[in-house]
Order: sequence, then C-alpha cells, then structure tokens
Amino acid sequence: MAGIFNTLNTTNKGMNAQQTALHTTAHNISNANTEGYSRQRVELKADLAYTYGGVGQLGTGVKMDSVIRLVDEFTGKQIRQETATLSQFGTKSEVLEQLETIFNEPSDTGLNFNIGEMFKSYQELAKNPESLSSRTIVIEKSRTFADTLNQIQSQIDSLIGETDYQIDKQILDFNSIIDNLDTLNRQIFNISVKGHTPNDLLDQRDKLLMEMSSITDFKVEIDKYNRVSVIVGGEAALNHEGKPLNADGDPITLDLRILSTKGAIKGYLDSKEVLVDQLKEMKDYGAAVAAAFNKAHTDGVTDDPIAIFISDEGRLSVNPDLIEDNSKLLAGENAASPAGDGSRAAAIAAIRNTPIDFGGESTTLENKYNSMITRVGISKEHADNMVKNQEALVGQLEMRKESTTGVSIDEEVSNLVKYQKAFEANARVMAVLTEMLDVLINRTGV
Amino acid sequence: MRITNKTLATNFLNNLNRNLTQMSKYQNQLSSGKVVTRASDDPMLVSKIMDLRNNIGMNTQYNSNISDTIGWVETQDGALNGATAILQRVRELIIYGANGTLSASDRAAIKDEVVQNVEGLRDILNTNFDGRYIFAGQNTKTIPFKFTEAEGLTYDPANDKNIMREIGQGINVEIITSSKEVAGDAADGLGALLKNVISSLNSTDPAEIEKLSGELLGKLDEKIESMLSLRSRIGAINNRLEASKSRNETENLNLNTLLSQREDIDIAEKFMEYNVMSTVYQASLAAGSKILQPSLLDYLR
Repeated sequence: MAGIFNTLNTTNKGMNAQQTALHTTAHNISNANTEGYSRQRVELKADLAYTYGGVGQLGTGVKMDSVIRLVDEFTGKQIRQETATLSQFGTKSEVLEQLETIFNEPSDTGLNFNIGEMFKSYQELAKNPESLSSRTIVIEKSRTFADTLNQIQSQIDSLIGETDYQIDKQILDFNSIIDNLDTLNRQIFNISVKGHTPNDLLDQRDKLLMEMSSITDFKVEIDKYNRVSVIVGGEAALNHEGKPLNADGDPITLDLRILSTKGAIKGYLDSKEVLVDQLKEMKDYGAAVAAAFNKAHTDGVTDDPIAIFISDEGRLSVNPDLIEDNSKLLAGENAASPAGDGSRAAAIAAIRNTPIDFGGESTTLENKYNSMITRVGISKEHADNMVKNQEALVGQLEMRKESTTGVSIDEEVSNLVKYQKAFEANARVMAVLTEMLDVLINRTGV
Repeated sequence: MRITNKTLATNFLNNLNRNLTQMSKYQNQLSSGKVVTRASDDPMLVSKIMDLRNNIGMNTQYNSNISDTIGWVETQDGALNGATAILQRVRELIIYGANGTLSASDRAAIKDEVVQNVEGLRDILNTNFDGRYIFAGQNTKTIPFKFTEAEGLTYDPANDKNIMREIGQGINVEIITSSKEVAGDAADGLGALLKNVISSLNSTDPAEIEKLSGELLGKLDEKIESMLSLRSRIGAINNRLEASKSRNETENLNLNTLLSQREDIDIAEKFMEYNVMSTVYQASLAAGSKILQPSLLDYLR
C-alpha cells in the first residue's frame, strides 16, 4: 500500500517542482529585454517508480532534471559570420561617406567648380590682357583652386590618421574581449567540471563572441567543459586553457591587420587603402596641374620665365613673386609683347580642353577629377548595397535565433498560470492528505 | 516559427526605420530640388551632371567672349563708317581745289578744311573700345595714329598684328586691329596720300595742282574703295560672331535642359511618392500601436 506519508512526499515534490519552474519563469520575465539572454526552462520528469507487489509500478512524483537554456548554436555561428561581413562593409561605407563629404561634389564650392572658375579667369585675361585687375582675378582664382586642392589633401591625410586610430582601437577592443573570454572560460570550467551547466555565463560568453564578430572574423571551438577557443586566420588567439604563450612564456599578440579577412578591422584596412590611393592621386593631380600651367606660362619665354604654381609634392601654392607683382603674370608672348597680346593667357585657358598625361592616362583636368569622384561614388554605392544585403541577412538570422532563444511574455504568463494552478492542485492534494490523517489520528479508535 | 514580443518589436522598428529613411530621402530631394546630392547616390548620373556643369560653364564664358567681341567689331564698323564719310568729303574738297581758277587764298582755305578733316579722321581711327584702341594692332594702350602737316597721318609700323579671340572650343576668330590694314603701307598708304594732297593744295605750281584731279584723286578713290572693302570684311566677321552667338545660346539652352532633366526633380512626381510614403509610414505607426500594445496580461484577471 502506498503510505499517506509517501503521497505527502510526492505532493511536496510537486509543489517544489512547480515553484522552481515558476521561479525560472520569473527569471525569464525579468530578463525579457536582456541583450544576449536565452530563455531557460526547468526540465521535469517523472521520478523513479517502485514496484508495489501484486499491483505494479507506483510513481513517486516529479523530479527536476536540470535547468536548460534554449539556444540555436548553428544560427549563432551564422550570425557571427555574417555580422563580420556586415561590419566590414558598414565601416567602409562610413569612411567613404567622409571621403565624399571631403570632396563635396556636385556643388558650387567643390574643386570642380574652382577649376572652372580658374579657367574662366584666364579666358577673361586673354580678352583683357591690358588689365591689371584681370591678372589679380587670375591670381586669386588660382589661389582658391590651390587652397581647395590642399585642403582636400590635408583632410584625406587626417582621415587616414583617423582610420589608423580606429584600427588600433578595434584591436584593443578585440584583446580586451579575449581577456574577458579567458576569465569566463575559467568560471565556466569550474562549474562545468562539477556536472552543472552555467547557463547565464554561457549567455555572456555568446554575447562576447557576438561583439567580437563585428571586429574580425574568427573560428570558435567549444570543448566538453563549454570553454571556447578563438582562432583568427589560422592562428590561436585564445586556447581552452588560456591565452597562447610563446617559448618564453609570454602571451602571443596576433597581428590582426594581417590575419583579419572580414570585420571592422578589414573594413578600415580596405578604406585606408582607398584613401592612400586617393591621396596619391590628388597629389599627382596637383603636380600635373602645376606642370601644365607652368609649361604654358614659360614656354618660349626668353626673359626670366616664371612658374605660376609651386608644387611641394602635389601641394600647390601660387608663386609668391606673382602675388607680390601681378604684372609678372604674362598674358602675351613675352613681357615685352604689346599690351593687347593675350595669346599666352589663351594658351593657358586652352589647357582646359587639352588632354594631360596623368601617369599613363591621358585626359583633361576636369575629366580626371570627374572620374575620381565617380570611382569613389561607385565604391561607396557598392559598400552601401553590401550593407543593405547583409543587414537583411543578419536581420533574418536574428529572427530565427530569437524564435528559439527569445522570451515571449505571453508564453511566460501562460506558464505562470500553468505552474500556479499546478501548485494549487498540489497544495489541494496535501490538504486532502492532511484531512485523511486527521480522520485517522483524531477520529479513529478511542 | 515561434514569434516573441521582441520579434514583433524588432520587425516593427526595422520597417519603421526603412520607411523613415525613404521619407528622409524624398524630403531631402524635395527641399533641395535635386535628385542627387552626393556621388554615391548615383555615380554615373553625378559624373554626367558634373560634365554638363563644366560644359555650361565653358559655354557661358564663350558667350561672354562673343558678346565682347561683337561690341568691339561694331565699334570698328561705326568708326570705319565715319572714316569713309570723311574721305568722301576730302574727295569733294580735292575736286574743288583742283579748279585752276581758284585763288591761292581760296585754295589755302580748302587746305585748312582738308587738314581739319584729316584730324577728324585721325580721331576716328583712334577710337577706343573699353579703354583700348581698336586699330592699334596689339599695342592697344598706345594712341596709334598721329597727324602733322609735314608728316601726314602716321602710325607705328609695329601695330601690324591682329587680335585672336576664342569663341568656342578650339574656334578662334581674328579681329582686324592692324593699323596697316586700315591705313595701308607707310610709303604709299592713306597717310602718305593725305600728306601729298595737303602739300599739293599748299603749292602754287600748276603741275602740282594738276596732280590733284589726276593721280591723287585716283589714289583717293582706291583708298575709299579699300576702306569699304575692309568694312565689309569686318561686317562678315560680325555676321560670323552673331551666328556663333545664336548657336552658342541654343547650345546653352540644350545643355541646361539636359542638366535640368538629370539633376532636377519632377516636383509633382516626388510629391506623389512622398505622399505615398507618408501614408505607408502612418499606417505602420498605426499598426504598430495596435499590435505591440496588447498581451495576455490584458485578459487575465
């Protein structure tokens, strides 16, 4: 016969189990908006039955097996991979947007406009070679052009510096995450080795891996104690047991600039490459402009030929001699030419339609600049499109992950009701048992 | 698929964000009036726009070049008109002075009038346009023609160059500014002829007076003829400039139309798109407020 106390014990276990499940529900609800949290569930199963002679197996109530967290490891891994690509192109798009802002085209203040204004001033000088004010205008327009060009170069240069700084910052972040993962690995090991699953620590670990995936791409291996190792570009950044050491016992620092193939670091590296090329191209551009203008201004001049632009590795300035004495700017053949001779100014103005050699590529000044702007635009457009695609992809993957790991309030509330009712029912059984004992103890016999 | 509250909220926010981005794009286009504001919006279009702007800038400059040149050439035409009239008057005076019955004092009076006219001719040939002498070759800042009775009408032989003007890409027009083109050679040009006329009128030698109606009159007719032909050459240049100007203006109009077609928004169309987007945005907001609000808790007592 199943003893009343035995049944009482079963009820007790039931109440305990329902209350624990309710506790976990409370934990889920309170973490409903916690980033990286995976919902948990108490796994219940029927406790071991015993054989009751002549009747069969009698159950002994419920047993709490474990508290599990619901995760989708595969989707998590995919999200990490796609986030690395998203972050790579997001970073690139961000930097290129700044480059576009530097160029500020199409506009009425950009370099393109200033090139046009400079050529116009030469046309005016060719028409009014007698006029000193035409010369002043030419010199001022040339200075504006040189200033704009130099400004663009300086801004690209400082953007390159900023990009370098960002790469260093990303590497610092990466290393600090590795340190955190190392600590977590140890904590996880201490719990896992005792046969438990440290659900919340695992969530923290996954969150750190997620953060790291926007910095670079990497591979993760998980051992039986739930510890992770991190491998970047084939080299270990973190082993299960700790950070990799070199022969002298010092921690090895990986060169992420070489090992990264995705993520923000790669994005910044790609952008830096674009910026360095662009800066060089702007410097070559400046040098080509100076060469073309100076040649047109000095060709065939016998008496004291004077340069218009002085080029310091592509940074231009208008010759100070001209600024001091603008009559030195030749409109005609020579200084001794008649006042009405505007042929040299006309020849300089004609540079606008003359192809110039830009290191193998022969095109006009404006077309060259135009093609640079177009190329930056195309790179940025490509990066933007990649970002859009990746965002959609990552969004979908996150939805899929959320469908496994996310806390649904409705679900938790209905669980709440479910466990509450079960608890009440268990308590009710206990009350019945108490009544039975009362009957037996107080009203039987005497 | 299991849908959680977060799924709903994230979806809602993503869609709302997408709608807002689109709204901001239309708003940007409507307030700037331009289709693109940066190269990455549409690189090929921006390249085309920059190209067109450069071409329009160039064209506008050529237009201003043409207009200035037309002013110059018209001034020349006016001056040559005056010069021809004066030469006609000188011709009449020569015929009058060639009359053998005139007394010496009458002839001297005629000479004085001729001198007056030649001084007038000098002033006309020294006409300036915008502070520049129009028949001074390239020495536009120096008075080209001088007159003395002894020397006649003279000019600096260095004033023999014309001026080139660029009126289109690689198209130059030569405007006739050379003093030589107007007054001929120093030896047997207009200046020398007028000097001879004056000295003949001064003379009492019948052979000299005879020359007036003979050789000198004939030569003057030639000079008038060549002045007229110069005027028609300048007229032809003027015609060419006028034609270029009208071509330039047509081209400018075409370029501006092309630019506008590429760069400017169609306001009616954009407003339509904006309104559609705005409706979508409001619908998503309304739907969001309905879907996100309720939970099971609202129905549990």
